[in-house]
Amino acid sequence: MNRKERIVFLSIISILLFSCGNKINPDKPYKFDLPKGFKYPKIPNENSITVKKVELGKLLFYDPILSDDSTISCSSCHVPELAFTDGKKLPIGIKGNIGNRNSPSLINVAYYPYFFAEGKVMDLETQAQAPGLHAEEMGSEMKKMIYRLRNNKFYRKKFREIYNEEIDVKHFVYVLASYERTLIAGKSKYDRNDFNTDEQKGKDLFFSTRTNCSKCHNGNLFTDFSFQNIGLYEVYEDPGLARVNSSATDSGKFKTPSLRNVEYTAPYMHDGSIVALENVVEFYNSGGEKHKNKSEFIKPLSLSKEEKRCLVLFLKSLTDDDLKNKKGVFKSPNLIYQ
Amino acid sequence: MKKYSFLLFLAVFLFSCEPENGKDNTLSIKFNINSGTSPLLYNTNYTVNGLTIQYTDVRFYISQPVFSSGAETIEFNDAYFLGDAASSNNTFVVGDLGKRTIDGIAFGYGVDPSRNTQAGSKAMPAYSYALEHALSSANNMYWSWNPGYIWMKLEGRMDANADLDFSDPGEIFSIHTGVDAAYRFVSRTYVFNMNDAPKTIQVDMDIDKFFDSYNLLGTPFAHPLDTNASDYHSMLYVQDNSNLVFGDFYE
Repeated sequence: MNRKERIVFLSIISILLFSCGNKINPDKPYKFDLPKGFKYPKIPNENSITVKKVELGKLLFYDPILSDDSTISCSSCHVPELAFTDGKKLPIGIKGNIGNRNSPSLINVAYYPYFFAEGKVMDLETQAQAPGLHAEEMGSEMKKMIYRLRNNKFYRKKFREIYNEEIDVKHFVYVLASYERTLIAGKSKYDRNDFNTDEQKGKDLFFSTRTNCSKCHNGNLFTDFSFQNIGLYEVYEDPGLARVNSSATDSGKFKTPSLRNVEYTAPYMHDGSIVALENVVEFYNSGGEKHKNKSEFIKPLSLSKEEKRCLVLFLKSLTDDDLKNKKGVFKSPNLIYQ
Repeated sequence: MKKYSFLLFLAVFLFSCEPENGKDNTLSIKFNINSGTSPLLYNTNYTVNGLTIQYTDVRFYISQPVFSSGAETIEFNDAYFLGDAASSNNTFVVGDLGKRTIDGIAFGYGVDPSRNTQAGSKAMPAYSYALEHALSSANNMYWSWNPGYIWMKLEGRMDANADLDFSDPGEIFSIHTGVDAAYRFVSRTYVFNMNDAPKTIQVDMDIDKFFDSYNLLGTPFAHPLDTNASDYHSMLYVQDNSNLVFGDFYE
């Protein structure tokens, strides 16, 4: 290579390097900052997780453009400062429609084997489209929503940076699921094994065969994802798992929820019928209502006032440090849409 | 030279989309969605089994059309169509049948088991179909929480107490068909020729006949999720009536 050729070659390289200076490679993998003890989550082959997808999914999650009348976003029912729940008994969708299940937390959904109270949705991508298809949540016009995104100059550009083709349902669910997978948190007093005397007493009770709490609320996420009838009612208005398998023995069974950050996810139960954590402990202490499908682990506990207090304190030790401080994933972002 | 290049390019462009033999034997089927013999309109009074009803949502899947030509059968296993009473154009562009005489038509009423649920041999996630595809989840015909397609939505109101008001409690009906075991084929004998030109044939549907001998007042709601569901047999009754719903084909 002579001098002239070298100059031309270096010039081309320089142009290539500097022309991409402020742009993120669309394929740049997203790097998880995982808490101690948290494994790398399973990512589907067809939806590798990238920085661009997560960024775009985050924008969409907080943008009311997704609802039929552009009044609510995913974050209306999944508020970061409330551990991605909404603090309401039942969620309120567009036009004031009231949903039929208490909003679940989205923290650590990257590790969930299935979704919704019946657990019949097996992946986050399929889950991501569901609220957009329900009239009582964000409306029922997914087609219109995709056309709204296609007609939006900002999103057209954003999607094109990743997919380089017309926006479609799969692109939408891929980016939304990618963002949801990043909502990982696990830095609490429990994780540091940092308990005061009362919390330790509560912990011992929680993991004891006397209360049986940990029979279902176990593992890193404090759930085994099993379906349980806890005897909340003698007659359930919502059939739970039986809604999808028509089995009488599954009536009133709902997926066991994670207890991480439970201090911030009130009100409780599938229908938001229990207002405070103290009332939840009181409910379990009572042994619940009679029901033929009630879990064998639910029985009167005869806990003293002090024991109930300690159990609540232990449950509060599952609150993430970032949630207390409204930091990290638990802080609503200020996003710019233009 | 430039002029010839342009003409060559134009010729390649124009002729590249023609079928191999230059003949187009594409068949389309037009579904005329009626109540009785008149086009079905939403929020309009119809009398069915002596009961005044109004339809509010009538949508259905047609899948896997099969044509017979003597001893030969021509299958379109990847062809799906979503009919919609709200649409002014319910024409299913099936595909190229080739030049031949057709003497019989059959099609599935619903989504065949190979694609209905994620357990099907050709299943792919509903969200991965293109927006314009009949099977796209955007059509809101997919039960994401009980994975599988709703084959037909037959929804409306009924004047149960004959007070000319459709808003009393219990006056809504909603029949959703589905479940692999209920997949049915509708078949008709019909002779026509594909003669190196596209052709559209028609078939009239009388949606009221889904309720033939069906007690709509007694079972206004059927959304069974499997064969064990208490409302499975009601749904099956409606699904089996699909054979009564379709008339004969004509051009």
